[in-house]
Amino acid sequence: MPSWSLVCSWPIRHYEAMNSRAVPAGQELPPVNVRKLGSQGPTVVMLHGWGRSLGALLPLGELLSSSCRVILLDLPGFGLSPLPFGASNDGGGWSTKEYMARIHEVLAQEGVSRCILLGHSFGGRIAVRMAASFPSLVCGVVLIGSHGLRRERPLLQELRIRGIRLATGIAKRIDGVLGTRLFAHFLAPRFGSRDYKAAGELRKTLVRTVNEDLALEAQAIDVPTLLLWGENDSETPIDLAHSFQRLIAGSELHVFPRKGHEPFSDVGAHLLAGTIERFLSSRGLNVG
Amino acid sequence: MTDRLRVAVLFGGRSVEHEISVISALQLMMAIDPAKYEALPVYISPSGTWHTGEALLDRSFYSRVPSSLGGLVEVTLLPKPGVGGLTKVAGGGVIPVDVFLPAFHGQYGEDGCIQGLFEMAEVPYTGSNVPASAVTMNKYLCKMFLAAHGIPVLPAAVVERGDAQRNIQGVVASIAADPRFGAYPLFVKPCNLGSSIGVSRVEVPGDLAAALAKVFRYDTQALVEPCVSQLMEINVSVRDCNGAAPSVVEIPVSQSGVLSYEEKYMRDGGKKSGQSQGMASLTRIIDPPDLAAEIRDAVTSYATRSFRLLGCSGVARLDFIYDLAASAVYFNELNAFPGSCSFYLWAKSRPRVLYTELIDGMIQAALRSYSVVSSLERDIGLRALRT
Repeated sequence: MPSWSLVCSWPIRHYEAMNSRAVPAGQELPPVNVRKLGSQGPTVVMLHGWGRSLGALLPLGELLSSSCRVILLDLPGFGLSPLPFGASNDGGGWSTKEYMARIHEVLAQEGVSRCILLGHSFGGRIAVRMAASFPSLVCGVVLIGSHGLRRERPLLQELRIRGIRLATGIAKRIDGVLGTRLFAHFLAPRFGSRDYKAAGELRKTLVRTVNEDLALEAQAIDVPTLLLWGENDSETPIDLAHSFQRLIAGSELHVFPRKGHEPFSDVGAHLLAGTIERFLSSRGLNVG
Repeated sequence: MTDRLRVAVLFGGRSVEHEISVISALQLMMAIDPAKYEALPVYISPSGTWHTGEALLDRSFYSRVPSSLGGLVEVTLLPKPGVGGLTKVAGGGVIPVDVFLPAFHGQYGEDGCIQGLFEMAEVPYTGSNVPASAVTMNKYLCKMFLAAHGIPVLPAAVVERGDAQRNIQGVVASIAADPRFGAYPLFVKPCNLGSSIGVSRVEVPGDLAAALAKVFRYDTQALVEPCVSQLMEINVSVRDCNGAAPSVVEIPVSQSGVLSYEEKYMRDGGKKSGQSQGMASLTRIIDPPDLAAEIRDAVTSYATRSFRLLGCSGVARLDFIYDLAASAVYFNELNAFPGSCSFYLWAKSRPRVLYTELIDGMIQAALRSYSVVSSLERDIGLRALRT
């Protein structure tokens, strides 16, 4: 595999773990694990989903690296990137603004002045915010099964969620006054999502980012944008893709039959790599 | 999406490599470009019936065969031109098909049989044609053909099942007396199968009969070859793309010296329950940087020449043996439809070829070939009968 820099902060040992070792308050932000592939073409920065690591996007990155410089990174708190204090529960958690700022710093350190942002799921949230905030840095966006927009839910589902939120508020107040653990012992185990239950030290970050609606940011994106969705995506259903398409002017949507929330998994990486390369070429983004 | 070509992907079949074909086909259908092609799964059951339906895309379906077949549409391909697709067995309606993509490994699917049916039906199909498929499937014929064209091969002898049944002692004695083989160990394998099924390494003459008996459970011909004591396997894929183009080479890594079915197709030797991704999940060194350029060049050159000489089409994988002691390269065998279509080699090749592009190339080559064959004149009118 060609490599324009063999620098890799740490060897890749495992891919899926969230890094719960929070760096103490007051210290500098911990380093971000970066892996770089490819020696020519435009720079593509790949941001993985919640609970994953750069390894999830590595096969796709490897395929793209024959025509692009690829930068994969473990988002702070995931994979081999330590958890910054601010992103921990004691630090109050990060929003996508803090993630964006940290990635912006990393890209500056890497000498990236222009790039295409590719974000999957949670990484898509960050990509949307970055594209809206740094139009001179971001010249193209690829969103794969991306979060970031508030979904219109069926009435019953909406009522259920509102009910859970109300109960959560009440339980936390009772816990605060009486010192009970109603929320932790009763509500969270029953009504918390899989991500919420597994979030550990990143729970506050999860709650902060999940509640963000980036519709305005999506609307502000003024660069070529490609939307890649699995037809059977149950985590970020296809209606989200259509919402993004309505909000982002000129965006191009490709739906992959029989694929789910990670359409790039297994040989799907080949399908997506070809689609991305054709998109970059058609929009004049295929040069470095 | 309305202008998409419908590609019937045929898999399964009456071969011991049935399940490998299922894995290859499911993988292939996940990589086919949905913007250009609509993949129509067509499963040939172990008993030889043809079925189509969306349920075939679910991997769990196959563990419930034959009871799960009931929910599918049974179809067939009639051996006459102009039908336009697959004929429903019940009712006789036709499901239109633009191109046939046989994703079989082994007998009836990779050996010219189904290709013969495609020719009879006069439909476009991917991969090698009848003679190329038939010769490459038979390891002995393939080696003898290539040897005649100057491609180095190891000596080999064929043992017919009938001969062995009649006089096994005589067969063992004739092999022992064959000066080409020298000392044991020898390799004994089926002549017409792949996926390392039925392969034995015979250490002493006394074990030869058992090794032959193992082969004759699956095949009517056994191939006996000398065992290269210090060998390295080197594989390369070749595809037709404005001529024969080679991929990077790979060195498959075996723990035992011979790649077993489990090592080829089952993760962790089949000890764990992880899903097999076919040949793509084998431990291998792709494009080994420290492989001497002259060895790599020899393998690549022999592979492209062999592909052309045999008249292959589509994507093939050619396996070579490098004798470390003699510093010699030998052609071993050719897979006309290799496991996982060897996409893992093309992904690392220069220029890189995506699996999606590989499939696209196979389909486009099939359409080109069909258009050439269709233009041939067949009707010269009645001459002999008129007089």
